[in-house]
Amino acid sequence: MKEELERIRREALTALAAVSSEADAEQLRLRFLGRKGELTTVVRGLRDVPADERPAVGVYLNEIKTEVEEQIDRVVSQARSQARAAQVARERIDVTVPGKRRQIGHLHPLTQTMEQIVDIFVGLGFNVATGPDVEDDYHNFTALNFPADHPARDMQDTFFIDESHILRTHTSPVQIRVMEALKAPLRVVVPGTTYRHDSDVTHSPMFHQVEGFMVDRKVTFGDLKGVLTLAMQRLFGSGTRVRFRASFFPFTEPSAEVDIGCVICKGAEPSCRICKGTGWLEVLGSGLIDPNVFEAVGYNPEEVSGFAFGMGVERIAMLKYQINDIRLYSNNDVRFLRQF
Amino acid sequence: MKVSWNWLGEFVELEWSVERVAERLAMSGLEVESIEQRGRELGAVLVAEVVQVERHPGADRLSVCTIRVEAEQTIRVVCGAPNVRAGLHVPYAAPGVQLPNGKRIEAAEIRGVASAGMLCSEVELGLGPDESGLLILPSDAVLGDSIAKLLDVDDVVLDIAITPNRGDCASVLGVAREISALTGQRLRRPRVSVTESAQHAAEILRVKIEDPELCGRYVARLIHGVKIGPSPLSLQYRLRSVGIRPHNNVVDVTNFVMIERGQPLHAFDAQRLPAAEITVRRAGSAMKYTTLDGQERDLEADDLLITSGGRAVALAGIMGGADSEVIDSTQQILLESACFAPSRIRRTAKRLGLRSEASFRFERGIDIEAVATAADRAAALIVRYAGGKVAAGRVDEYPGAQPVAPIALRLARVGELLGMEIAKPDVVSQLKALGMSVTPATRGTLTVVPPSYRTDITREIDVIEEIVRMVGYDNVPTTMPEAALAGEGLDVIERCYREIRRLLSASGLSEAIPYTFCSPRLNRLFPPADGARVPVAILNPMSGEESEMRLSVLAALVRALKLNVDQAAGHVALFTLGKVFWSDATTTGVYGEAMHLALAVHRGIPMAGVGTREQQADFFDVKGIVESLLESLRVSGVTWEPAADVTSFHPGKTARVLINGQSVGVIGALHPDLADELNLDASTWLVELDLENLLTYCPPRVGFKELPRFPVVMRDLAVMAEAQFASDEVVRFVREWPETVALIEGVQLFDQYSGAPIPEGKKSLAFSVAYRAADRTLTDVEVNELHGRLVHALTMGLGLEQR
Repeated sequence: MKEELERIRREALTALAAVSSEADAEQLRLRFLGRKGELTTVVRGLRDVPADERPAVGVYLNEIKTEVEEQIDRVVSQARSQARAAQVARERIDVTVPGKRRQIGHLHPLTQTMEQIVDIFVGLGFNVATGPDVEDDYHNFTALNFPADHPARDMQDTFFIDESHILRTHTSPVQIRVMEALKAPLRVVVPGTTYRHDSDVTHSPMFHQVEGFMVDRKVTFGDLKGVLTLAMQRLFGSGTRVRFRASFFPFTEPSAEVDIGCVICKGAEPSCRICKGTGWLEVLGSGLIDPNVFEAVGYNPEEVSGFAFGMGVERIAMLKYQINDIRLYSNNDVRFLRQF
Repeated sequence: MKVSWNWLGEFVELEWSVERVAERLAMSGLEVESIEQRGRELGAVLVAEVVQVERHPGADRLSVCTIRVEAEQTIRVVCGAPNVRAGLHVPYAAPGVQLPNGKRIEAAEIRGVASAGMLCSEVELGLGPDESGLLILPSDAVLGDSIAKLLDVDDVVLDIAITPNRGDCASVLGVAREISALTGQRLRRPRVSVTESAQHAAEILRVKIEDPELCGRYVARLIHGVKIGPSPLSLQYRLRSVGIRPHNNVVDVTNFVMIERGQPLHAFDAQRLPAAEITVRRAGSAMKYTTLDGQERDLEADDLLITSGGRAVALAGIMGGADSEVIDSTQQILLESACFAPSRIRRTAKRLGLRSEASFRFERGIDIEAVATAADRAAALIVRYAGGKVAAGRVDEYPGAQPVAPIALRLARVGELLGMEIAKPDVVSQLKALGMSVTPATRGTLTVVPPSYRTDITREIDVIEEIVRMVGYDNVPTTMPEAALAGEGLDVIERCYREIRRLLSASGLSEAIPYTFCSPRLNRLFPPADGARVPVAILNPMSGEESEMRLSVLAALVRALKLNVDQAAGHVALFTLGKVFWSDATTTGVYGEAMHLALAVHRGIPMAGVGTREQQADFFDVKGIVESLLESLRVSGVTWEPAADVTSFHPGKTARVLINGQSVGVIGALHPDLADELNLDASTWLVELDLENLLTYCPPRVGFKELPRFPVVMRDLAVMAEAQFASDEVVRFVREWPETVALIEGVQLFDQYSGAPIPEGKKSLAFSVAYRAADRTLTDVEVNELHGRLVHALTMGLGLEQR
């Protein structure tokens, strides 16, 4: 019996050594290990083996079965991996062919800039407010301390709708509307569309502003400087230099223009086209809210103080992206929009 | 406003450089917009005398001139000027000299005659517009002197932006005062004196002010025996350097003094006035008046006039009349120096479109106390340049005289508003430097009286602003507010807008921000859904194309779409989120505005990738985007109904979007007529949604629902319907069928088909129905039974044929 087993083992191993395909190997599995396979048949003869030898033969039989099985598995596995290797070697795609997709659209640079500005102030605890574009003279001018027949009105060329209505020339009327409706303390940021009768490379009859104001007990000019310096550094980068210059707006006093260090030449280039060699770029107007404005909305200027500021979104985006013609914004050419 | 540096130097000791002064002014509120060096080149152009003039042998129009710039040496120059004559003093540029226009003079041979340099005209020297001939210099000009020195034109001109509150700086003296206050450099106060004749002006002239609130002061000076002629060149060029055109010696003096002291003046020819009397009064009633520019003006009752003998002789503070203006034969001058009400001048000047240097100053408020000095200064200069004698004394009507009101300044308030303490002595010295009188009042309070020229300072806050200007904004410490941490973040509306923008851009549409203005034509082509809305018209539009506010955002978006299509972009997909505007058709003066969203797809969403080039969008591509949008906003209860009545849309390819049965917008194809008119493809798909309305349907909060615990069972349902049948009816029927409503999770159209073997005029629709129970696993038997009943009810109910 043992010899018989040994013979089958040799025969199996010899046969296996000659095959390489998965199918041939499986054929051998049937021949030796299948239900009518040679080893299976031998197992049936085990009952003829004397009882005392039976365990040893049994152990030997199992060893052979395992060995043959393992060898077959090995050949199968080898064959499979060769076949897979051949397959993947065959299959090739041109990965440089572009992906198939809807091209993504782009948000207008003014939206992106406006959202960025608003987010900075929201991060500082400001709430967002909005107001109408078709505004009345009272909210746009009178309540903001622009007296009738005062040259300050010439600062803002106005589109007129009727005797008492205009297209708002700035977002500042929303200051009035908010203060009329709410009590201090207030921290409010106002994005919006504004209009002035003016059109050239840097002026558009319709443009966008972000206005902001803060009213509380004991808000100081130093606080105005602190908040706006922080905001400009978030907007233009942490190293940005910021300076405050005296100016005039009817609704603030003292008033300040805010300049940032030139984003292009950093103040180092006397021939810089952007800052005209001054090293500074005007980016926003600001000031402490004029007591007359507080009185117009029924606040007591002895009890509260505050600051207000406003910036042109077109200008900020022009500086951020170095856009040289304001008309690009309203043309909405997709070749322009796609760049943002 | 242009200011000459040399001129400033007459009023303030200028030790600082121009740049340093400009920087200090800019930081303190007088922005210097440009600094221009003038006439430096003219240092090399010299005074020459023409000794002899001969005809050029080779050219009729040229002369060969012998000139000299020093006694001994003569120079030969070829000259083309018609006015060259022996004996004249003219400017001479030698070879090597560069003129202000950049031209470098070289020795040359002109038609065979050597020419050592050039004689110059005004225009060649950059001094003025005259190019008709040589600039003739005064006969007493010293040979060999530089033109720059002779004419005092080597100068720096600052262009300063004067903010509306700083009328006091609209003069050389005013800027000098400001420089002195800010830099500590000493102010000079040149003495003004007039030599007077024996006769008293008051005996000759009477002045009456009928409206003291419109004219606070009127000073007249009389000058007899003047001779009108051109001003000296140096005076002319000084005026030119600040942008004023010279006229004659008298008018030039009035302008000169206005620039120097900020006081507008007017010179009348006293002999041409109807009477030896001046009355300042309102027009009283509407009338016509011809100003000295020959224009007939329509005046209103409240316009302020200067009259004489009952006739209007000037529009006060704005423009005189031709009847009494100074002309070549004028011998007697009535010089007017007055103070008119700023708002009155502004209203009249604005209405008549007559804004001038004078009205600019009156509108901003002039120094009522300096009215007389200006008259004196001008009288003295007129005598110097035009001769004559000044009558003794001024006629000075001053009904508006009143002391400047004192202001109480609390030192504590200064610290409170600025966020820094400033010591009392510093406050006092800063305010005094600005010309204010400061006296201590009660403890911690000062009484401040601003100078008469600072009409902008009337309140404590105005004084505080002056203090911080003097301190310098840069010296105020930068702090952060002491405020409670609060803030609600972005509100829900703003968050929705952002969500919409991001979803649409991810869907392939780019955002446009077109003008909210629109043409009447586009407003007609894209009318609003609500017929009671009429356009808001702009009274003074930029152009006819932008004369109304848009009634629909599509009107504006289609314009942007068109621009892109014209740029040869075939597939264009844009959206815009912005306001529409209307006024009420029945009530005037009532305006409305609302946020709308519009989408416009021309041909298709731009695609990338092989085989996508020809892909065109259809209704369902665009509808899909809107569906995604509504899903992202979590809006439910949406239905779509055919809308054949929207004029700008294709009647068969347009739907109204309804939420809970209420319309929130329209989606569909541009009407082919409009597509033709606008030159766009017929496959232009448009959407306009009323966001203000739509967002009211956004649920405030999303709640979590348990995931289903039992499996879903799907069954298909195929029916045949009329071609016109709306598939939506099946969906609604299934949803509402009471027997199954608890067990049907959803129903969805997954296929539709028409064509053989489906009979003509019919279509086949295939739906899948999802069955699920919340509390058990449905058996096949149960579902089959349910489905059978549903199909039966549905086909019966909707008149469909089961397939």
